[in-house]
Amino acid sequence: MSDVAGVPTALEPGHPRPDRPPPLVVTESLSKHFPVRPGVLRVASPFARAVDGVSIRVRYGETVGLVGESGCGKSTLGRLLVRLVEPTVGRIVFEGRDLTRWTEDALRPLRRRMQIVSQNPTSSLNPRMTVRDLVGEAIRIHKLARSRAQESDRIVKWVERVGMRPAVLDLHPHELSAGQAQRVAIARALSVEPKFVVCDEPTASLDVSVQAHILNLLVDLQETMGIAYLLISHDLVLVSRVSHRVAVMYRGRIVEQAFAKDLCLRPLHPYTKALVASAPQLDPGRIRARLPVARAMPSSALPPSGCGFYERCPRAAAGTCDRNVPILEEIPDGSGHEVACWFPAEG
Amino acid sequence: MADTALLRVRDLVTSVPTQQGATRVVDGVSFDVGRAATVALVGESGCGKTVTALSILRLVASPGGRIESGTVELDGVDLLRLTEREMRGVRGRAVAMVFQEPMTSLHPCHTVGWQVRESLTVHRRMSRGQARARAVELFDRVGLPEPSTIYATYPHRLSAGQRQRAMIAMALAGEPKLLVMDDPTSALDVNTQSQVLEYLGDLQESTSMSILLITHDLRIVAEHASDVVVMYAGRVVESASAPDLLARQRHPYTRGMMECVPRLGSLSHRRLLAIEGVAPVLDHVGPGCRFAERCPMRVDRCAQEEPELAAVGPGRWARCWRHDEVPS
Repeated sequence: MSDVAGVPTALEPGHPRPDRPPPLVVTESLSKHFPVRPGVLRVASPFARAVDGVSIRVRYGETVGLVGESGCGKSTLGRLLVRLVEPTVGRIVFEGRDLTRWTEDALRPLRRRMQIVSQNPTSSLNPRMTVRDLVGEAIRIHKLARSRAQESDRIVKWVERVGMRPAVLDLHPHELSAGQAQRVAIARALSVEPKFVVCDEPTASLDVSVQAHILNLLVDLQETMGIAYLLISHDLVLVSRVSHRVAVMYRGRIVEQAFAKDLCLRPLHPYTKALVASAPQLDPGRIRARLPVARAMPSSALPPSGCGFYERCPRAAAGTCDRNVPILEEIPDGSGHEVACWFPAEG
Repeated sequence: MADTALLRVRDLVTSVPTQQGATRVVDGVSFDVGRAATVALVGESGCGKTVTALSILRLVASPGGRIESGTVELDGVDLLRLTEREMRGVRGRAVAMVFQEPMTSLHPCHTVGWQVRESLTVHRRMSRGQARARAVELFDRVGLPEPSTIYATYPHRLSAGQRQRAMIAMALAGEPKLLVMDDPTSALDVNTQSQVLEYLGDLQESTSMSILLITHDLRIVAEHASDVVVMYAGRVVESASAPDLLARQRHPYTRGMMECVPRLGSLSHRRLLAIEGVAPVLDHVGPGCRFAERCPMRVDRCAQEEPELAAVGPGRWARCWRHDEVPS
């Protein structure tokens, strides 16, 4: 199950070698339950299980894609991993240290090693600050420069590194394009030289051509700095292009996890299968499968007694799937492919 | 074909004030929207696609914009020549718009049901009881679960996808001939968006409503549009039926956008293809093609002389000197 010192059994070409066997980030049965007011949506349970018993690993220098529909809990999981949200149950181990119960004060020096880049760059940047102040703030807080001159050099270096001209230094966020604002957010997060960055839909609000520039920038910086990313997105095609491994989340749980190519070519969970089949693509003639639509709202506030995908699942078997929660387990072929389903598709 | 089009936009020029004076952000745009057609207006941010849509509804005045010239004919009537009072009778009835950010377009202090009902009592002069029944029916039609529960719900309790469906229900309340949707993909995940567009596609079959879909996602175009108009820096650079355009592009910009779209087939390489450079600042456009600076196919002529939007085949147009040489 959750194997803390998990050594990958099969490596894709280009995948970072596990030089240091303990992974960078490990979670064990991590859960976050939010209290909900009973009301219009006929909420029966007082808690919404946004994240429900998630055990994942992110290795040094690796990109793990986290895919799921809106509301599946992927952003909450990302925020849990960098301790912006307190977990209800479970453990988070970062660089071998269990941070689950660390106080904010104790965490502060560690904040430099874990950063987050959020979806909407213009709303996450203080509108009154210039690009110089925005990038400089991170460097100042973590005391990464010894003098004003050194600080200034570092700011300029980072602005250039994320592909902008120093002319933008005196601009305010509203004077930047969405792509530039996201570059500033990346410069802020990466200038403190983190080991782990959660990228929450970093390109959702950007044009396709800008999206490609930003993702390529993240890959370049990863290769030079050895950063690990958790790349959160609803876009399976996009995520599987730029991630080493991909985890699929549904109603707060990871339902499948594998190397990117393996997951796309050989989805084993019926939900992943549906995601792959329904992913919009460019071929106009292709008959796209529709994702099974639940007319009843699949609300995380109504925890199912069995598999979360039961109501939408074409393979669901009464008596098993509606009663028992399937556990995420590796399939026995050495590929590292994990699936949580009572009746997974044949590989 | 052109005679039967529902909407005919010709030589539309719209300017917005900038520090340099009035800048033409929509510069001579022409296209048709056929009956029951879904026309995608595609391009990157700032290319003028939203201003084009707002110009059709004559809603550019509040950002300080001005429609300089051109015609926008709906069923043969030039909307640009109507009085403001007449125009008010068009908006929400013959032409309805779904804006980009549903949260800012819904009133936070009223239930979504109240808001749709109001639209029905104002535009369709229904009684309150009739309007309520119709609103619940519309919620069901756009795929909202438990429509009568949703009716009594305030916007902030709905998810982004539900809010957008509520907005669409409100737009459909007027039984428009033309539904304008501004970049629905940006607020929603791809699957939710496809579902919404599928519901609209089914609806089109029974009502022959036309849709003008503003988007930057070519995958949405591939799945839902019948025709495509590609804009770049205020100009239409290419237009064609969706299958023709996706099968072969006749403008290097369209070609570049196609290459940027990530595909499942090619998983070995972690980097994506991108179009180099950025779109020109519109108050300093030179005499040449506006895409020339970023174009991988540019020749000397491109910087000096801008090509016309020329017919390059049956039902397709391109604005490029080398439209025959765009690789497929």
